[in-house]
Amino acid sequence: MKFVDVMMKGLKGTFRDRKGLAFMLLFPVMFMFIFRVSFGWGMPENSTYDIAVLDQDTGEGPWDTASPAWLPAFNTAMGTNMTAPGFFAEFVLNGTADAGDQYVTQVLAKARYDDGKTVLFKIRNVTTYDEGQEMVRKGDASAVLIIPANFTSAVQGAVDSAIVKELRAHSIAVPDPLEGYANATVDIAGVSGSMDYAFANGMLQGYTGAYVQMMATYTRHAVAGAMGLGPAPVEGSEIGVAWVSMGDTGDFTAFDWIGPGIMVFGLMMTAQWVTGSLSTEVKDRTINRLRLTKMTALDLMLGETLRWMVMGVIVTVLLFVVAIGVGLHYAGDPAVNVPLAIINGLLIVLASIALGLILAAFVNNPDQATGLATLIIVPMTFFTGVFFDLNLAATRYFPWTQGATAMRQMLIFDNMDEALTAMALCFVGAMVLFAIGVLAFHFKRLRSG
Amino acid sequence: MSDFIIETQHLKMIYPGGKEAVKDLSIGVKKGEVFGFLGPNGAGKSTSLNMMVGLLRPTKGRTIIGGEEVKPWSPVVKEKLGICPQETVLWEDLTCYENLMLLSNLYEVPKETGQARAEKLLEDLLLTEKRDELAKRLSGGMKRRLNLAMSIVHEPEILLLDEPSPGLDPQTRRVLWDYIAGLPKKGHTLILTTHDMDEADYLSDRVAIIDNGELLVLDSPHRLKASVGEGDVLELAFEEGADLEHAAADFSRKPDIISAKVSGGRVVIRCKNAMSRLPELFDFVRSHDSEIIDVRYRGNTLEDVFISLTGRALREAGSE
Repeated sequence: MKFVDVMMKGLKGTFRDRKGLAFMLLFPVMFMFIFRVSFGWGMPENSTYDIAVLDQDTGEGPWDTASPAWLPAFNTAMGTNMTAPGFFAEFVLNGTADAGDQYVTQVLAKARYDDGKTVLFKIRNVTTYDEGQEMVRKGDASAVLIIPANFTSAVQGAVDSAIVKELRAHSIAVPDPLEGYANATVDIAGVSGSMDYAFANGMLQGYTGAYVQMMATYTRHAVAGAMGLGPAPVEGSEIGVAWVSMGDTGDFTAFDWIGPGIMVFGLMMTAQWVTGSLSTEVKDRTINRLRLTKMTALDLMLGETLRWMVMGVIVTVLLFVVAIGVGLHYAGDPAVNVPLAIINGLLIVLASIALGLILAAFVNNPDQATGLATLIIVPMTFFTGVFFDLNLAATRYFPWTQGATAMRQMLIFDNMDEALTAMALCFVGAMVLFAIGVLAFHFKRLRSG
Repeated sequence: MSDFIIETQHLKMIYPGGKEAVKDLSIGVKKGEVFGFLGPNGAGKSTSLNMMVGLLRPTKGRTIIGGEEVKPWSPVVKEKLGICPQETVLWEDLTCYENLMLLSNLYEVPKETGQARAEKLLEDLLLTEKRDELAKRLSGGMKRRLNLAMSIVHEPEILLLDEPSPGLDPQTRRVLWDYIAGLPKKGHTLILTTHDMDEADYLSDRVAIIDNGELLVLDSPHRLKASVGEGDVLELAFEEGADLEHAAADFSRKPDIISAKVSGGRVVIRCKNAMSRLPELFDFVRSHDSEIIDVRYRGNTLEDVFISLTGRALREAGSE
């Protein structure tokens, strides 16, 4: 177990260098405080964002001409004779014209910060995209939200699937959902360099995804309840606080939107520690001592990785505690979401270790390590959308982008489907990067010069 | 089957930029001997050593250990070699004992054996009191001793010592030398690089003198010194302003003076029974209205061998 010896050597070094350890732990914590101050303490917080909304939803969908297969069973159980449009109007639209209208008037317009008074968005309806663009150009709106014509169709599809799932979970045989539902895309346009747009964009993306899921979840539970089927025995991941936090009793602050990103930023710093640590081994030539022993390259890589994973656990937990301590709210069940957030943190640490290995392959001493790591990591934190989701195609599949998405989805929206998908992508990205890092370090540093 | 436990064949190293650090080095080291590489700083000693252990890839040539060619991550290197590098290479935030145990574990020495060896090494190298001290808190001399202990904790068959004692106080140097001198009796073969002629002379069974990457001569210290010439050496320092070249020429014309040269600001005279001739030499100098202010007497050294081969002193060559 030579990798354990390598790991223990590193950990002893880390913990005995008290000043180094303090700086290592204080740096991300400091950032958390700085952002907390910036988004709440002593400064104006909870800004309301003007959103130009272009609602193109036609309100049309497959239910206008066909009924979902479960509707007869529902009518029988309820003793009613509802049509599909009737069901949609009563169980989903709740007095609104269509899904787009509902999303704008019942969700976005009512979303509030935790003071219960300040609304997140001020809705400014527009009739053309140019009109919305003009508002953004003049600074009258932070973003243009474009709800597509087939939005209602997509929501009907989500509801149909959810109800089929629900009934089948109660062992009621129902045919598959109807076909012909649309895949709708809500566009959020704005000035990409604008801070307001970055914030508004992040919030709107979250709300849009959560709205569709929320409607599906709400409806399936409403149907199950109406049919006397009791609580759903499965699919717990779709049940969450999304409904509560999206509704008019929301409890989120501006800081909550950025908190998960700061945690990711703190964990990305692992790359700098790894680069510094390995470049010190190179400079002090202790790496040569190691190479001459029976330790293999894999032992070294594994030992170093485990060492920094241990530090990653400590930093993740510390950041979580500090974030909550300074007022971060998070959604969902703490028994599920918090451990998952920590696991997600470790995946981000793994990706950062891999980046550290790659950088360490190209530097000869700790000074170079600091320079190169700063040069790479700081821009990377922005490009991967750690602070604000920039939605850049070039960095979409970077593990940190996915890690940040997962962190937001689980902590802000309690959207576990999205979170788990992003975590899986983060893991794959981290492993690819890790393989590159191991090869780079092996060929540049462990083979003969 | 070769008689040598380690053998280099036409080793050559050209660094990026074109500097030829080692030129066609072919040597063989016998089991149980102490083999010294003597040469000034920058002569190519450490480069040769690093190629021999696989830390540097030679531009040309190869090293054979126990019939097997040395390659990066070679099992033969890990099995048979220990290297004590020129710099003190240790983990500053580990204690002396932890440094030793880390390497013991990484060399797969059984735990109890490793523990016993670590304690013994600390005792032999006078570090027992510092057993649990962090390496960063040790003095330079202590770090050097720990550096050596870390190279030998796995009891390698061949130990390569790269400049083991530069900058050490005489007492620490003696501790180190005595320990190194005792290693062949325990079955180790030693390869030593040094620019210190006394160290090479005291420790080595055979010495290879190397300069500008080239092997100049290889033999036992005794034979190398004898090869320079008979007699003892007197180094005479004159009062300021004396014409040393003239004095050397005058000395060389005297009977039984084998040679007289100016080196290092002194007149270096080689002659038989030098001590008994000192009064005569003093009188000779006074008769020329000059004064000797310091006299050093010694036998031939490896420095003399180096001077005879290169025309320069080791110190001068190293500072070029």
